[in-house]
Amino acid sequence: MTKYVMSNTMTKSDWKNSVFLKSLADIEKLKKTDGSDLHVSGSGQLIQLLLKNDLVDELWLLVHPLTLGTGKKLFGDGTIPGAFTLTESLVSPTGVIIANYKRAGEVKTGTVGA
Amino acid sequence: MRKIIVLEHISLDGVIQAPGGPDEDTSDGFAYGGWAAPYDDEAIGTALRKMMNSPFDLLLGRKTFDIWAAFWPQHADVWPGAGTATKYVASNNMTSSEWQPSMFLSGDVAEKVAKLKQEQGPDLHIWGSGNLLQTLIKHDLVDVFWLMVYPITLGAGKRLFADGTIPAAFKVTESIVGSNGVIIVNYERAGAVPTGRL
Repeated sequence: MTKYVMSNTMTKSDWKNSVFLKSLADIEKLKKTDGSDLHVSGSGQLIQLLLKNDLVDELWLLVHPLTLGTGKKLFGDGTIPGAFTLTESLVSPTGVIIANYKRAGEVKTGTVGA
Repeated sequence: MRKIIVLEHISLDGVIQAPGGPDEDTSDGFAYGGWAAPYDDEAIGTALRKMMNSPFDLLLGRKTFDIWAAFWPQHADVWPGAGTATKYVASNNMTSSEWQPSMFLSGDVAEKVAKLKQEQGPDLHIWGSGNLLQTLIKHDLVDVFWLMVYPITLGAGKRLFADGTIPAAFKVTESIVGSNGVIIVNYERAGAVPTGRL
């Protein structure tokens, strides 16, 4: 499996099948190529860049029944307004909501009850 | 003891500002008022009616109270409960209202709400009230979060869990998925955050 790594300084690794990307344009180009879907895990800073530029097609989230108060957030400043379709969801016995969201256009508004 | 139950429409990125309509709360230039409206369906309606028809008093921030006082007295047929409930309102300036029964809490609101919780009476429901919520969350006064999680990000707007949110664990006691992708979930407060290794 190819690991695409966003980095300003690193250009190679001993871990086989790793490719280093430098810019947003590299990611946009990569998305247009043929190949399997790209999974992003962790990568708190990279995700901010992807969310800000509307490059995320799906969010597969495990929402734990906790508040933490501080720490890196998935949706930081710069998150764009966007609508999603919930395509799958289940709740684990421990209260973790596992949900798959697919990007689905603009946020629509209206008046409740109107 | 009375429970404090927080009921909110919330986006995936945690925004609770103005779910119901464009003019509900435009503060800080919020441009997406009414984001909950397109997702209205039978599952949400049924769940909302269940909460709105359970016994409760209301605990509200002053701004939410103002919005409600201008609306619900004219719509008592839709929700008589809002009129009959005692409305406890956090405000440093307001001391009375024509919308009765209402009581005003000023000064150390956290302390006053903590006392109120010890009294006899129905559970206290909070809707909206983004500022007041921060005080309650910070002082660990919330027993239940009843959330309707909408499948949207908004990017900006008032958040449910702002700075000052305490680390806390919850138990999911009920969850429903609406036909439009809204997840309705009931979280009950359940101690400290446990940690370990995956």
